[in-house]
Amino acid sequence: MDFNTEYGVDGEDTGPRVTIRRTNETTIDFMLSSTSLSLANSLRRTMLAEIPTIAVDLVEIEANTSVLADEFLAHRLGLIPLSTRNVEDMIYTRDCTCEEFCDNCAVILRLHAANRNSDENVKVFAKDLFAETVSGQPIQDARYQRNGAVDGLSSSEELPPRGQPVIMDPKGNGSLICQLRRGQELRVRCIAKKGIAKEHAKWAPTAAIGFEYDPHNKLRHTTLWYEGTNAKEEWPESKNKDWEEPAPDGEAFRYDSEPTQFYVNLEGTGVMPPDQILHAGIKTLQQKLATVIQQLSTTTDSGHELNGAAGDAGMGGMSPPDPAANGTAYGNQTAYGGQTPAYAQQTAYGGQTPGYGGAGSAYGGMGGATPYGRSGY
Amino acid sequence: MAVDIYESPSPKGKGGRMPYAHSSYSAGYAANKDPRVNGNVGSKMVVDGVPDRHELFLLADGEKKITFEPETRVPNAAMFTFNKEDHTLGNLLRAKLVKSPHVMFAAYQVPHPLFAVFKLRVQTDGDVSPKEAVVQACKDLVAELQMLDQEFTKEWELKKIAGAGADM
Ligand SMILES: [Zn+2]
Repeated sequence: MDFNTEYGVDGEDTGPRVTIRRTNETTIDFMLSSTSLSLANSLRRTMLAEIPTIAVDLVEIEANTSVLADEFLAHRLGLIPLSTRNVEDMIYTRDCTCEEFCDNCAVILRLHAANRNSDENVKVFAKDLFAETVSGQPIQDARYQRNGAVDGLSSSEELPPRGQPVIMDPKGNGSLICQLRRGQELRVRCIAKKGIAKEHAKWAPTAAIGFEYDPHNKLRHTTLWYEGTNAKEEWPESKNKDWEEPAPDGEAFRYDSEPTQFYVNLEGTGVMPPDQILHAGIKTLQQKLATVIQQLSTTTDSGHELNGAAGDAGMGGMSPPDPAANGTAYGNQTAYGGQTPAYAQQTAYGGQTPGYGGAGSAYGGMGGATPYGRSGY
Repeated sequence: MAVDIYESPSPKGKGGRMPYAHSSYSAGYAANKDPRVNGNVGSKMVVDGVPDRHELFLLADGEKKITFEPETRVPNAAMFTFNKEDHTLGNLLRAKLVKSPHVMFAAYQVPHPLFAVFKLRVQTDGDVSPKEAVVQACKDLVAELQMLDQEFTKEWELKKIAGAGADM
């Protein structure tokens, strides 16, 4: 592996490379190469903490004579995986115009179970949660069961409707919520909302993300503890060792080399197919960056704010003709890449995403009015 | 005045409102001042001094995502302050910026782990302003992520066609 290959600088269209090694319906094991450690790691962090999903957030307890305390039960309900199908159409309750919650920003799940006269415990499962509208109308019976992806590759079409429990076990029960003894009853109304795992881990679409690079420790980012004479004899080798050549004997240590190859094991919770997790992670990260671009485009080089969108009309006549939204002084022969930025094409955040495409956004629309159109640089 | 007891039993400001319905539980939410965020969350533990978790990613009223100030002592240098962001963005931008031949210095820090803020200092060679350098870094990263997305889609479709997926 030639660590000197600087991505993007050699003129060729060398973007990141992906090699999918193994998959199943919740997990993808892939190798990411020709990128930087920082990009791979930021993507990992984004997938762990910032992808919007749905989880029970409020629980109204109408009756609970089970052995579990109300708040204990509420916590368990919060952790039940709910389908994220069409989350993008759902709004955050805090952004919604409704008083408390409504069908645009919440999914109601009702649970009613009782053990009337059995000496055997009645088990209450996630499958016993029934979706209804805020006003109490039952939503079409969506007793849905994942019939196990045929080829091990699942897609979002196989997910139950938005907010419904994801059931993946062979018996079709879903998570066990609690058990009821004779005479015990459970009657609750759960309000599931959209959120991200930065607020609470119940909104995480991932169970774990394995992340490794440099299995031979050629870069010496790791110092291996050893008690004998040779660290290599005391440490097991990485499973990924066969995907890279070890450093040849006697080769001088390259202190300035950087990792370019990453081994990622993306394990989802089932709430979203694993490929969607990756797409959603990329999209979320792009939106983050787009917000920065947009914000800085309305600021002068000395840190002062331009007069917002007014700059559009107000400066229109005076500013130089828009040198194409992205062809700034800086434009295509940039220091870093050479590739024309891919957005403005059919990117993830075309028109639908806030913060970037939005009506007459600072980016694109205002291109000509931005301070760097003509400034002395 | 005796009336006080009945009027507002909760401390002003931070959480601590009386529950609307005592039988309503938050499934795990920190205290919150904005009823629109929480709905009518009833009994919940209010731990004094613990910030609401949405403060990690939601800008406060009137707060800007980024502010920056040119450095007065050094030419072509500026200090950017990113609000409600963390290492995910900080390290990503820093790493991209240091690759630019126009950037002479780029580094970031999170001044305090309890505040969702990071500072990014950028110094350029004068051919581009620090702000332009940051914007360009963002644009390049967006493009790179777009390429990654396409590359992954391609590989995923190939895997699907091959049907050789279910080997886990
Ligand atoms: Zn609503």
